[in-house]
Amino acid sequence: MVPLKKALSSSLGKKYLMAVSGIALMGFIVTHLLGNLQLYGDGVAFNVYAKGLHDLGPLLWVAEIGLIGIFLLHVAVAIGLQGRNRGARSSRYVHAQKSKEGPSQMSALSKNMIVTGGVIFIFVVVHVLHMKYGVFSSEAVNAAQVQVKGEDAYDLYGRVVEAFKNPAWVAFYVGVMLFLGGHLRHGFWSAFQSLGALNHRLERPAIAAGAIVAVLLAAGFLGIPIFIFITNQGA
Amino acid sequence: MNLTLRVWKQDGPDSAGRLVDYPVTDIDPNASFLEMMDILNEQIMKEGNDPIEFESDCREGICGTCGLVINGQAHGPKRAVATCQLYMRDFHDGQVITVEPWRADSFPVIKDLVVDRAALDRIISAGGYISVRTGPKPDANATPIAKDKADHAFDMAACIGCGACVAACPNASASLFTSAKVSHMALLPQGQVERSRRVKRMVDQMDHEGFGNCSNIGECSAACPKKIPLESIARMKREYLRAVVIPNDAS
Repeated sequence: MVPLKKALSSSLGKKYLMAVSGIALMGFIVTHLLGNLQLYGDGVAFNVYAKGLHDLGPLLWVAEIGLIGIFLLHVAVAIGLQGRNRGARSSRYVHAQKSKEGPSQMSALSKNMIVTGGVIFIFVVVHVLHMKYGVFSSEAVNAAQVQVKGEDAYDLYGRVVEAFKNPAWVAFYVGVMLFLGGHLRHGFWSAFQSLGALNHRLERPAIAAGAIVAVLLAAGFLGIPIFIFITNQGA
Repeated sequence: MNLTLRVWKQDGPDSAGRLVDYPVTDIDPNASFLEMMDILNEQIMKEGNDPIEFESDCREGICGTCGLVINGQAHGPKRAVATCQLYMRDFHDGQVITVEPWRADSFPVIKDLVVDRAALDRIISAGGYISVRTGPKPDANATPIAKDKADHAFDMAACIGCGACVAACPNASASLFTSAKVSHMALLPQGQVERSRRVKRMVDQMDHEGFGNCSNIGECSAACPKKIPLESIARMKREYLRAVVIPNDAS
C-alpha cells in the first residue's frame, strides 16, 4: 500500500492533484459561463442572479474560499511540476525537438500549459479586482443601485457594460479567453488521462471532447464582451 | 548521396560538448544510418582522428542498444523503428543531419553519442520482475490467460528499454518505459503477487532518478520503436491509485 501523503507527493500524485483541481476548476468555469450567459439579455436577469449569489452570504464565502484554495493548489503544483520538468533536461537539444505525429499531442499548446496558465492566473486577479471590487470602474458606476424584486441591489450589469464599452477591455477579455481555450484544449483530456480514466477506446474521443469544450467555453465567454460592445455602440 | 553530418562530440560526462560538421560522400541510399556512421568513422580513423562513439548491438531493431536523436527526433524521422532500422533513403542528397545523444539529466553522456541508461535498469530492479519458485517448466496453458489480456500484455512486453521515450519527451519523463513494464505484469496472473508493491517501487525509483513528469504530450509513444501506446501510462496511473487504496499484497 502507498500512504496517501507519499502518493500525493510522487510524480503521479502531483498529476492526480492537477487533474482533480483542474476538473473542479472546469466545473466552476461551466457554472460561471451559465450564469454569465444572462449578460446576453437586457441585464435585469443578470442583476437578479448577482443579487441571488450575493444573498447567499456565508455560504458564498465558503464557496469562494474553497475555489481560491483549489485554484492556488492548481497553480502551486503546476509551478513545482514545471521546475522539475525543466531540471530533468538541463542540457537542451541543439536541434529543436520535432514531433513524429501519430499519437503525439505535441504542440505549442501542450508544451506551454504553464504559459497559458500564467496568463489565466494574471487575468483572474485582474478580473476579480475589476468585476468584484470595481477597482477599474468609475465612481458613478460603483455607486449605482437598481431595484431587484422591490429591494435595493448593486447594479453589477452597469459595471460590466461600462467596461465593455471600452475596446481595450474587450480586447483584453477576448484575448485571455483564447488562452483559456488553448489551456483547456490540452487540459481537458489530459486531466482524465492523468487519473488513468482513459484507454485506447476512450483516448481519441476524450481528445476530441477537449477541443469541443475548449471552443464552446472560450466562445461563450469571449462573445459576451463583443456582444455588449456592439449592442452599446449608440449608448 | 552526399551529406553533412553535424554530430555532437563530448569527451566525457563533465566536459562541454559541441556540434562538429563532417562531410560524408558517396553513401548508398540503401545503407542503414548506422552503416553510414561506420563509413564515416572509418574515414575519420584513416585521417588519424578519434571516431564518433555511438552504441549499437543487434542492428535488427530488437535489442534497444542503439539510439540517436536525428534532426530533433528520437530514432530519426520514421515511426516504429529503432535507429538501426533507419535507412539513408529516408534522407535526401545534400541534407544536413544533426545527430545528438539522448538528452536527459538521468542519462549522463559517457562520450559523444553514448549515454548511460542505467537509470532504466534501476527502475526494473526496483520492481520489474516476478518472484517465482523455480522448478520444472509448467504445462502449457496450465494458467488460463484470456487471449485479449495475453495479447495486450505482450504488446507492453515489447518495450526494448531503448530510452527513446525519455529522449523524445519535452520533460524527459520515463513514464512510458515504466508504465510498459508495470502494465505488462499487472495484466498477467503471475504479476498479481507483487502488483501493488511493484508499481509503488518502480514509480519511487523513477522519481528518485530525476526524470521529469508526464504532461500527456504523447511524443514518447510516437517515438517508441515498439509503439507502446499512451494507454499504458493511463494503466500505470490506475495501478498506482489502486496501490493507494488496496492494502499490501501477500508478501
